[in-house]
Amino acid sequence: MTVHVVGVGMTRFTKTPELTHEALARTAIAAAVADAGIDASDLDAFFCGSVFGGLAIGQRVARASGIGEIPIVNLENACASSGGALREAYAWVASGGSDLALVLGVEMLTNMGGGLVSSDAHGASQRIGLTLPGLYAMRASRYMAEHGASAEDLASVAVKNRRNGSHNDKAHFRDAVAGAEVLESAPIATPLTLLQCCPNVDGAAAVIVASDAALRRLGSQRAVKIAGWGMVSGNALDVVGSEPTATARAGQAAYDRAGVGPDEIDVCEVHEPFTIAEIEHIESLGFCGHGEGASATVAGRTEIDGDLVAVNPSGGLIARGHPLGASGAAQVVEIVTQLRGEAGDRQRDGARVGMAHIMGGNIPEIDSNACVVHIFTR
Amino acid sequence: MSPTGTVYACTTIHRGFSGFETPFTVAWVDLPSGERALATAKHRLDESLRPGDSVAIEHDADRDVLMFSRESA
Repeated sequence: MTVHVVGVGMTRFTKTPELTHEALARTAIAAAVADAGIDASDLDAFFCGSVFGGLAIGQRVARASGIGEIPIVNLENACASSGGALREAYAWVASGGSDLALVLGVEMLTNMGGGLVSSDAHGASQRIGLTLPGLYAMRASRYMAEHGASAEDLASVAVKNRRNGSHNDKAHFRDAVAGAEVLESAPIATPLTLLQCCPNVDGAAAVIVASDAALRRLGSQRAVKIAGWGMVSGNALDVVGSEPTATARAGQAAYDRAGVGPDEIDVCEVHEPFTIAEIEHIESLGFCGHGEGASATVAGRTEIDGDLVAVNPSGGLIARGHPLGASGAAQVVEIVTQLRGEAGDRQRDGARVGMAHIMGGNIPEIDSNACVVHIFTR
Repeated sequence: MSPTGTVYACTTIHRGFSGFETPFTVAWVDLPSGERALATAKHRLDESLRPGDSVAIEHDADRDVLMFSRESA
């Protein structure tokens, strides 16, 4: 059984405190349903990812979106919530439990007061006041010391992703920035500055997956296959510097299932809440060697037309914004759009194989969290 | 005499949670026991700290946190 993506849709990710989860979800679901050429009443299962959406978030948004009394599963896995929801939908469809399933990620962050997202940490990190940017900043300090990378090198991730985001009408930030502007923005946790951190925004993204039979019924010519997946959790005893990383383990599982290697990936959405994360993840996913992520980025090898792979053509979390539980589904929207050849000014030429990588973690050990990777083929 | 540790990674936090005066420096420190532990700067701020630096480690029992400071020459 092959599982296919037959429809995608999303709201713009931006600061809309006047809206509700229900309103955001309705917009994203309506767009995905229209894209698939179906009615919401055709859906037979619904998997809803959200971090702070509250009890029965899926049932609440379903009622507002014309979805019937079908199985609804709510999934919270920190930032990997809707990436994990896609994995659940895949399993239901692959096992014959569903023909046409909806995956949604939805989050409202601007009505939570803004600023730092709580790491919900306990123990030493809570007692010393360690923030999530602080955790990634420490990782950056280590990377710079080990590999000779500079603050300018880190900033090149933000420059690339903001330029990509300027071509994405669903992104929060629609303007490009220069490296100097990134480095001169407010210090958050040395060496990370404000423009190297993802903005807190609101949004929803929806993905519709189908069985072979449902695809035949629809007769869609724009479907994209889910070719492989990987999902792992960190070890509670993992600390900074553990190898192989959760990303490497989830990525390898996805490569094995899809029967492809890193050199065959044309386009990839990578979880980069902070610049250093993209640099480390593209190494863990095998696009370049250990310690080469920063220099590859600086050399333009991960640009939309880069020779390695296009990384975060949507603008990623840094430009599109990061409504936690909704980001995984938004990545899938981007990859499907790229593989269909419908990405306009940010299209990777000839993209045939794509990947979405998302991590969730709200505990101090940066690698001790959910990591979900999907590989898609046209 | 305080045990000596080696800084594995460090940062100075400029935007912190309420209740924490910023900026302040924190680090993962490799301890003689082989453990890697989170610690905060005894003198709150040490912006020139880098991975590989040697630091003295002590335990602040009141806050139940490890604190590091540069060893005097």
